[in-house]
Amino acid sequence: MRYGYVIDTGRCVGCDACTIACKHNNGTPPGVFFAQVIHEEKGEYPNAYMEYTPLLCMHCKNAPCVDNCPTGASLRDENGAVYVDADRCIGCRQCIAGCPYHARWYIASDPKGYYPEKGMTAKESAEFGEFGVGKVVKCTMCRERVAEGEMPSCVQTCPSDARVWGDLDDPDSEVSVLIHTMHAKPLAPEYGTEPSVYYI
Amino acid sequence: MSITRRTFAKGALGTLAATALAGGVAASDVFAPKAAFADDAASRGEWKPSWCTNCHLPMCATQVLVKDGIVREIKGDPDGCNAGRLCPRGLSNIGTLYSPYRVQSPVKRTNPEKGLDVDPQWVEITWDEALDIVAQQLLDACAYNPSSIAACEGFGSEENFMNSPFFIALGTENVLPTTGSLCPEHFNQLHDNGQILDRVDLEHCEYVLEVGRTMSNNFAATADEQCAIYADAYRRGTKFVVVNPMSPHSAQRGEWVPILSGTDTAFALALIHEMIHELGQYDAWWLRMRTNAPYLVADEAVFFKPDRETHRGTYCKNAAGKTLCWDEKAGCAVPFDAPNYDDFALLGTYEVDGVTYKTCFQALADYTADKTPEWQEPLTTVPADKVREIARDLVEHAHFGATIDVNGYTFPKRGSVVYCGRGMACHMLGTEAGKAFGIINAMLGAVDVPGGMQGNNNASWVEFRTDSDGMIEPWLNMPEQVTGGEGLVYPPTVIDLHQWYPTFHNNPYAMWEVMCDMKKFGFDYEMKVLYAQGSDPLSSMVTSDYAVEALKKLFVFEINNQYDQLSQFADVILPDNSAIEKDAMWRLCETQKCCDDRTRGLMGQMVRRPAIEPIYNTRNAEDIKIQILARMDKLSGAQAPDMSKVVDFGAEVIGPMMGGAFGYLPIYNFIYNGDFQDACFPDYPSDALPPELELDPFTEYTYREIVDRKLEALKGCKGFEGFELSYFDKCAFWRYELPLEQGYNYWWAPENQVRMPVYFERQGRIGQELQNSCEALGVTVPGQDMEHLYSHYGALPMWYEEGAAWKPTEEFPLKLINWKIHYGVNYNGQLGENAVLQEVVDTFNPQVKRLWINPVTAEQYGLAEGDVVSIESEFGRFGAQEGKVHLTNLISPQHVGIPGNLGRKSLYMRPQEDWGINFNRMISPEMHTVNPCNTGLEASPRVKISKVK
Repeated sequence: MRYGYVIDTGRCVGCDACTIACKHNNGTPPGVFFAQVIHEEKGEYPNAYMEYTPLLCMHCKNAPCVDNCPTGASLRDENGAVYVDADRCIGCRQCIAGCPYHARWYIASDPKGYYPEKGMTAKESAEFGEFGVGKVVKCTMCRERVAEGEMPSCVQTCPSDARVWGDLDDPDSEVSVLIHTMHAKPLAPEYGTEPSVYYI
Repeated sequence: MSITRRTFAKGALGTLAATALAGGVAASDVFAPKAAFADDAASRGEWKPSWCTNCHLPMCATQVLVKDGIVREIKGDPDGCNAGRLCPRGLSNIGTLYSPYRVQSPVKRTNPEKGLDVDPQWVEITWDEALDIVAQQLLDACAYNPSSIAACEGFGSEENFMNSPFFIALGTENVLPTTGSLCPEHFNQLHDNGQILDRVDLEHCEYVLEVGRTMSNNFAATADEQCAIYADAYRRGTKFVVVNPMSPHSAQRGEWVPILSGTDTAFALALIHEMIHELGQYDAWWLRMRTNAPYLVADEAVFFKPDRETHRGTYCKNAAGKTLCWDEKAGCAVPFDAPNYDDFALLGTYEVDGVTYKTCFQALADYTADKTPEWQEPLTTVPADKVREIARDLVEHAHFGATIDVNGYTFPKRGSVVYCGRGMACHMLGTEAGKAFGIINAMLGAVDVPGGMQGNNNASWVEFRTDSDGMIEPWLNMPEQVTGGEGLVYPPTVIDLHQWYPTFHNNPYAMWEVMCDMKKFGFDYEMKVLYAQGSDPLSSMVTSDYAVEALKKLFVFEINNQYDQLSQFADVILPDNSAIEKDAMWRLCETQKCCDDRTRGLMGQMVRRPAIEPIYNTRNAEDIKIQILARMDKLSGAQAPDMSKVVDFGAEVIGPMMGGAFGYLPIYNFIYNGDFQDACFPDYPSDALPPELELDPFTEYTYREIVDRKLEALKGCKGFEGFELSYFDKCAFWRYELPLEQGYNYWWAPENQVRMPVYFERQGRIGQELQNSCEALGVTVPGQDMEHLYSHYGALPMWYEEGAAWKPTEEFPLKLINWKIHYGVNYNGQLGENAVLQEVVDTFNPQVKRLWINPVTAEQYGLAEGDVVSIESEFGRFGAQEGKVHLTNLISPQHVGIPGNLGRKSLYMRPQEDWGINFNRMISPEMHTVNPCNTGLEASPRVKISKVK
């Protein structure tokens, strides 16, 4: 089994719900975005348009971050999700250097929270322990949620159903059908990492 | 395909788990829990139901994950009307909950000086002290004159249902909802199908002409699956043609037709001209059957001003007073409700009893004869050929005569529709544009049928009613915009001056100038107290110096969970719980904006239980009101109100009528008792409080106790079979649905049982009655040129260039526009200061905090991306403000734009580096600048800009 995503940029309305869901539900500190959407204007008046590119870790089949990791902290699980074992991470950041999609984040100092002048909120205090100084963090394809039978947060929340998630190995899954019928392609395939995220 | 996102979302997790354990189906293989995480999963916390209140459709059911008393996650509830999705606003409920900038305890100001930039110097006080202060001030005001209390509610809290009995108990007539002055978009819907809002049927519609609307930009809404329905339609091939000075998402995915703001009426008149005079194509069957197009009318043009052709007309009636149509077969006039409507003449001039009449459609045809596409081009900037193309596409996609079978019922089916929004309506001629586009939908036959425009309510809830002419007559919500309500009320008794405007919508902005000089406006008392909940009457409307002056004189108290601009003037703030901490109840009786088969007949009941205890010293707003009234000895009172006085349901109407004679709890009983339900909602499942559940007027209940009595009463009602209160411990949304065919309101009143106008005879009549009343009394409407005022009450869509276009001048060469963005609607949830949400905006979409300007225009001013400019409006009573520019080809060169409702700030709000630019400071509260029919604000003022750095 290999989970993956299809992102329909035609359906995406650029609302950033995926980004915000990811932040709240993974409790990431300010400045850390496992999910994000690039908003870019293209074209000339009056045919201009916004191009939205939702991003996340591509959970590559040939993930250079996994290959680059000297301690074996970067791992791929049985469902194809790439994640970091914080206990083994030494913060060398070779994974960051090797990732062509800029999907990893290095925690350089203690997170201060969203209200540094007021101290940590209860939620931040409970969650920021996950973001140890000197560690690399990233999108895990919401492994804990998936284990509970849920979809990744960014997929479930999407107001326009622009993010679809499922088993790439199942030719009948919605993601496989969409890849086939809508000719979905990964971003920057020239890096040869075989991303698990496809774009329409 | 083994599973889709949607089928997964709608399948409860429990079902999936069960099938997985049973070795189940393909789906379970995909989502089966992994043993490695089983223990972790158990320790993640407990999912608790809640719902979001951060937009106009406060009905997205959520689940929040609570661990050790802390909310850790939030998601859409798969069993909610949002089917598991949740938009940026809904997700931001967590941010609101944990914001340290909330009002954490009752506070009172210690600095007697008040001002927008003056520190109130808050000190925390006990609940007893705070409630005593407020109750005493209210008692003193009531002893002086109950109407000296101004009571404001608004979109900041969509759960303020209990304000109605609160206001009634206080007895003030000055109930001033700060809601719709910047979105008076209800006029055409109320005329067309008696409902306050549109929803476009994207299941069957293939061509949408979207005018002044921002589908998707505010459609990021997940309630009723709106955004997904829109995206499905786009992928299915629905064509969106968007007439707008800026290009929203639907224009970018479809086609953008830029237009000069405020000139939509001219564009629409040219479309009507094309359909009647050039193409000769319209739904004649529908016009004869379902509109007043065949009614015979004595139409005349009245010129209140030399450049304004206002039409007024009286119907041809028989001796019994029945309006007549011309029967072409019989060659005589017959009553409008004769069964052979197919024989009615649609065009022509006929003589009845020696008097010559036109059909209403002929009057429209005559009026639009010279409104050609070439005529409108220099006014609107829309090329004439584009108008012709759109008219052609509208009629080609309409499929006149087509039908569709829905559950065995045969409906007319249409494929094209005009879908308008506040960008069309928020102008001096907004109601004229509303008339014109309503006429086009009537000519397409595209109302209440598959593929056409739907009302936001199902007719099981808001039944169709008609007047004696067979014309639709709204009755539940905002009926005045069609009926003219009570007409002129003189002298006015409410300080927002709405009683001067029979078809008013919402104009609380007028109260500030009145408060500054009550005698000047005919009031013989002074205002003493202002109360606001869910309403920041400063920044929710146009901000003005009158407001600052007025507020300095009043005792101001708020029930609020965050500080806002009004807080700068508040004496006491009573802190409300955040949504996740709060009991609430809401009846889902409408869906909005768009629908398909998934949501058309959707109804239900929402109940929220607190997911966690309040984290600060706050209370439920509804309990706070009960506690205030208990201190005022106003919980008990006289018997239930006189039913004969009830004509509408809502704070703005019910409050003033009750005059303070009734206690809070008897009123609450009244709202839920059988008589009220039967009178107002005859087709709705009865959920009246039976005698054993009625509230004892001498007991101080908690809000939760009141909610639970209401829920007990629902048991066994239609749609609530098998219902138990414990249901809401798992999900906040109890769903029931109408059969598919009943979701189309045509089913409830088919054929000619109700008619919509192509000739707004009643508007002309209301204007004439207003003129008669004013002249008989020898009075004039404050701040108005009376000829200007009367000219706007006409039967046909009026056009005059200056009023419609506010044409750019040498001093103010640009027009300013504003549109909704998905990061916050109105003031709900005060999301402009939400830390995570604003971090995402600042990082990925900072353009929404800037002044949008076309690169061609920017070049003329020597502006580059990010430059700081000064923006000054012809209206701005606060002068210029500064902001950064964003160069974009998504706005036309004649305009500059301020997106959303940002830039609202005060001293105790979360400090930000970039607050954004405040649109509301740029518009005018003066009555001569507003739409004189529905009192909507002109939202496209002329502005000038200059480079600062």
